[in-house]
Amino acid sequence: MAESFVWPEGTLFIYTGNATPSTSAVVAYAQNTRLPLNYGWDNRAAADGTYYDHRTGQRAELSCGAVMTVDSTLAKMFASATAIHAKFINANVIGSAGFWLYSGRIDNLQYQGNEKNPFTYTLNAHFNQWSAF
Amino acid sequence: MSAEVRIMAEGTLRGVQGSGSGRTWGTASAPASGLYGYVQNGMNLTSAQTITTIMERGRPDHHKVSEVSPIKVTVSQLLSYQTGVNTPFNVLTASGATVPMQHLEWRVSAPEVGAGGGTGMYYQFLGVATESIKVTEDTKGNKYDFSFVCLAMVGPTGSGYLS
Repeated sequence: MAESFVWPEGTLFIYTGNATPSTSAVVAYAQNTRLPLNYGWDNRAAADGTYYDHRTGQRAELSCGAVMTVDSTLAKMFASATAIHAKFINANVIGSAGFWLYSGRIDNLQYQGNEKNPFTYTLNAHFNQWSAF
Repeated sequence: MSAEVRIMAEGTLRGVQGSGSGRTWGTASAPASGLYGYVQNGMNLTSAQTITTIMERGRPDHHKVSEVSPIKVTVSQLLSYQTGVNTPFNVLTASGATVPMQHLEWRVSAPEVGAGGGTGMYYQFLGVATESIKVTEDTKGNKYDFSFVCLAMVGPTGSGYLS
């Protein structure tokens, strides 16, 4: 059994344009990430008693807290309300895993500042298409 | 065969003005550098990392490094003009960083090793920022204590940058 992954081994890229995986990261110094992937199901019984599941939708919610970088790319993406793709990677020298998230939107970009701490922002975005690798 | 044990009198501690950011030995243009003078017993450092042990149904299975901590360095020395009254808070940095930064090098003389230049073992402390200075008057010499934190360290190596 391969080793598990830990935080220093992961990376998160957010980019625009086509969905080809990009190597230009815009989320640096990331602090926290969360990626729930959800399906909606209509679960019902037919007249013969057989149960069926019909998918009613799917949605991924990406949230990331990150230390503020000198780069304003994310803020510009948010301002333009453009579609974004994300590559959420866990990787180490033994294995790799993660998700591609396609054609989503940034829902929320929150700036935070307080005494004795760097400025940070929190990013929330949603996606309806993804694939695992 | 093992080299000899070292003692404090065989070591030197030097510093150089850094440039930019990151865990590399980048120095400023025409950087200020020099030997820290009259370093007393007790220079010490702690390099640490956080290990998370992954359990497999109640048994330790493998280790993971979940955090590498910044390295703390403390230096006790006697105050003189040579120790640099202007340092460490007034160390200048070039473009790319906002915090005055320097690099330190600790050289331990080891002439019997005979490899890699053969005369010493070196530890480099990269990206050193000052946390505190403390001045104390004393009849045996006024004390001037530094406390640093650095981004990374390298060592021991067979050659040094400063000595």
